[in-house]
Amino acid sequence: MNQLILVIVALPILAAVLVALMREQSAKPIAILGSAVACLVSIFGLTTGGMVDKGFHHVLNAPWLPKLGLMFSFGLDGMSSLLVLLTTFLSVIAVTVAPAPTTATRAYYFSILVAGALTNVAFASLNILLFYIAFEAALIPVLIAIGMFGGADRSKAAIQFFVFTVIGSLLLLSAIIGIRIQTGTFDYLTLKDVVQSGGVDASLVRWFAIASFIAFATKAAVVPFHAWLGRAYVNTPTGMLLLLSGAMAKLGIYGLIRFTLPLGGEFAQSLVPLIVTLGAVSVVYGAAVAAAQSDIKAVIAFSSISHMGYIVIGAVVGDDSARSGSVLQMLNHGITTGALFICCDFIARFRGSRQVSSLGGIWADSPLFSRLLLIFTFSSVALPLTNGFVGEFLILLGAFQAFPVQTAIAATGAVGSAVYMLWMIQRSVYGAPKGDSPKAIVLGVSERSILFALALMIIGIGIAPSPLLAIASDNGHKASAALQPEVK
Amino acid sequence: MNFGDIHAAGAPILMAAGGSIVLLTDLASKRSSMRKAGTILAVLFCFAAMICSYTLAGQLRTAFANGVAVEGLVVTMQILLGAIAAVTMVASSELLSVFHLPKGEYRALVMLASAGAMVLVQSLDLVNAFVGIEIMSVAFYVLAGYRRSQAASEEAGAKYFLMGAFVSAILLFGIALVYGSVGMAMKASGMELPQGFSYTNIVSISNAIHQIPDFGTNPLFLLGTVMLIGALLFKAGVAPFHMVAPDVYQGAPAPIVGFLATTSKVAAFTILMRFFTVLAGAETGTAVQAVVIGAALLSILVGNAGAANQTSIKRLFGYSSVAHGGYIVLGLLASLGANSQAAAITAVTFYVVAYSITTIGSFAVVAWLGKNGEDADSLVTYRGLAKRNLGAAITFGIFLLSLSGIPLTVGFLTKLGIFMSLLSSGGTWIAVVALIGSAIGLYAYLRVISQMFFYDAEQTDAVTSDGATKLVAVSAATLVIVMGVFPSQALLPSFEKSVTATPVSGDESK
Repeated sequence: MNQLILVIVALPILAAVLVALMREQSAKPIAILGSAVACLVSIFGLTTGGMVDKGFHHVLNAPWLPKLGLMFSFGLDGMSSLLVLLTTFLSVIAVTVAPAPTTATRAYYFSILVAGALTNVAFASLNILLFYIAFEAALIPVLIAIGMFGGADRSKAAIQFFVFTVIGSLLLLSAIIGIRIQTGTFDYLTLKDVVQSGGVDASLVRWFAIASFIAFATKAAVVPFHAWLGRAYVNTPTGMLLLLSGAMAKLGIYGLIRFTLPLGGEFAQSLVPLIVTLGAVSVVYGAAVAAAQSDIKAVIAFSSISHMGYIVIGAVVGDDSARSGSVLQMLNHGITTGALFICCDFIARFRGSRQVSSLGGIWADSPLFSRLLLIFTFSSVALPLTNGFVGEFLILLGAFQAFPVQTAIAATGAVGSAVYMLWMIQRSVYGAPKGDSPKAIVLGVSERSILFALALMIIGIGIAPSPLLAIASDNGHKASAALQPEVK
Repeated sequence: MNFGDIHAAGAPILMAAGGSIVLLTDLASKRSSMRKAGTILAVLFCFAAMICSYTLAGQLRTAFANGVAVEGLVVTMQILLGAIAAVTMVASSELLSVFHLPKGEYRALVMLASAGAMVLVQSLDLVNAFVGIEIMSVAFYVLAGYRRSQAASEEAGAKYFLMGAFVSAILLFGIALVYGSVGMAMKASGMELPQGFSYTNIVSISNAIHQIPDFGTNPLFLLGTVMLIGALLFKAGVAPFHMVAPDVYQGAPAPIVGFLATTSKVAAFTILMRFFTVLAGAETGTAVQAVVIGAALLSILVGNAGAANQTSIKRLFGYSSVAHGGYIVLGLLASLGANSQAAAITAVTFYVVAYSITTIGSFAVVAWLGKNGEDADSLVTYRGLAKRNLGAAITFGIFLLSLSGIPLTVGFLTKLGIFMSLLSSGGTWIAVVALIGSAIGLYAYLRVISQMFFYDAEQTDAVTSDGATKLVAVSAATLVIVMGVFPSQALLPSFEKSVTATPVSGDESK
């Protein structure tokens, strides 16, 4: 079924249009229905349609603006299948669990649905201009969601987020245009062959490597391109934050694996030590900043920088198992961080505060919620038998041979994450309740079932990661390994 | 002069005739119902001019002793100019009735300005171009100061007139220098003037540049060329000749600003494109290139930086127009390259059309949101607009996103086209500076978006407006999206058919 990806993208878009046209009250049911159907379609379609084969499947080529070289070229390999699944799954959670704003509900659901759909277009695109368009257009719904429904500092957060990421992507655009002018194509698979056979000027390849790295590093918030993240994450409404941190930030890592390394030639390979170092710095920096936060949402936001640091290292280090671990860890991070942000939201709703200092006693009055939260926390600190352990372990193992120093530094981040996460949990969940009349956190049926599902996924992947790892290992690099100089 | 000549120059003739007839019928009719019919009559004349121009599509035709040449580019631009004039008249009805401004004269001025612009785009002889510019500009001066009761409008008119008249003199002087240097060089080298052409004809200039050795670096000719180009860049509102633009934009009433901004850019950039294709590949081209690069980059930086902290929306658009003028000039730059002309002309044409639609739409929103005929100029009046009037906020938001070049709006495709033609002619560092400018501009537009969407309204009164400006704004926004997603379906085919991109040369024109 070659139109599968069109269906996966069209369903949420259709739902978004319906949301815009119908009454405010019907926005949420339509959004849930649209994203849930898209999620089911992607689960059935992708698991039955060659996800475990190597190479691209569900390939589709249809003209959009052929004169410009812009085509609806889609194709999925293991890596992009997993990321598409993640995005559709997070969309469902985003519209189901996260609370909607009281006014302009339609705009809220509209932006979440469109953001998810555009992110999937980017993950599935085999036309580099189409990728770029989706990559950048997906910023608009996020901008709207942060600006209209975000926290106290929303306007500044929205503008900062938008300007930072667009500057990065403008650089990428210039490189893409340069490559198109030399090769006459935006088609990814053709470009890969042309670049690897030396058909593009070395200077242009170099520019592509630099520009795309900056664009993707900004998206993934790798230090020193992370400046937008803190304010943006803290002020983003939870529903959109699931997509932003869980799926869209992964576009950065995905871009590194898919575009920067294969199309950046040998120069990109020579950037690897630098990128790995930046990844290690991100791990430590993220952990240090997270430890210093007093807002639990900010702790999780900055912990993202730390986790993404690992994923970046695994993505570029050139070791197959590390890369598979990195792809798996993208999935894990989406699930775990999403779950943690949802918990944050519950705490803020019921306790009226996200400040560590004014929380406490949750363990006593909300036992179910607290135990679930603990599982998510264990996953975040990568305890064995959780999904986080598998991913981080594979990354560190694969990276250690080539980059022992950076890997050692990054490994200390694992200790750091245990410190700041558990310390935060200890202060905010245990102990005596603070405040006048703390309300117990009560989960509704759908909320409870989704948090259970997330916890099950975390433990499931932690115990039996191999099926997913097999899929994650199909990320377009093994096939061409002979052509690429392995980093020694 | 024969029927063929009149047909070739049919569009400006119809506009000028229409302007005169509208003026006279307005004088003759005392009843107000008749006066309302004036708009319909004027719009019909615009359509007639557009149709007349369309019948010339796909041909290369010269007329009036080679003073006029019509080809695909001219047809596209004349149709665009006719449409702009018609839309302007429709969108101005509230402005005119609220302030009791004379309607007949207004329609006549708009149509005459448009006629002048049409003469300019189709002129092959620089003297013709000058006549076109003057017809257009004189009408512009009056229009800019049309709301005489308001000091700002009067100031805008006066400033525009003083600067414009000065620049016209420079333009004329430049043409005289070109005339003299071409004539002297041709006589000295014993070269024959092509039959039926004058020394100021672009074809003669092309012959002189490409056939007389060392003429391309003749100092008199270079000086004349630079004065000519500088004057045209002023008409297009490009830095460093942009000083008056923000004042005019702020002072003049919104529908008029939309008209001035677009018509002047369409006209000036079309004639520049025609002139540049002649210079392509010659030594003069290289010399001119430096001037043009400077003007373009300065415009992009000054325009975007000037827009960044504006609290007046109309002023913001004034600076934004300077910046966008800069991008268009960058596109023109590629037309100076010998083998990138076709792409450059397509890119610039598409840019000009898209920019016109966006600008007309934006100023329609400014008029739409205004109260009692006053424009919604202050940034504060946009605060919380999404909560008061979501439709207006989304419409304006679409224009702002398009101006910042975000995908799925037409602004992205135009930017893409410009950068493609620029990078294919090898201007990498220019592209980088342009990108920096874009980033600054992005901030300027985002500020407005954030005011509209991210804040709660301080004033809660509902927005009232007449249907016409609303219609113009919403249809322009629809076009911006449609052209951004499916340009081939919306407008591109008509370009592809009509933009022949024929470099005007002596052989073909004879």
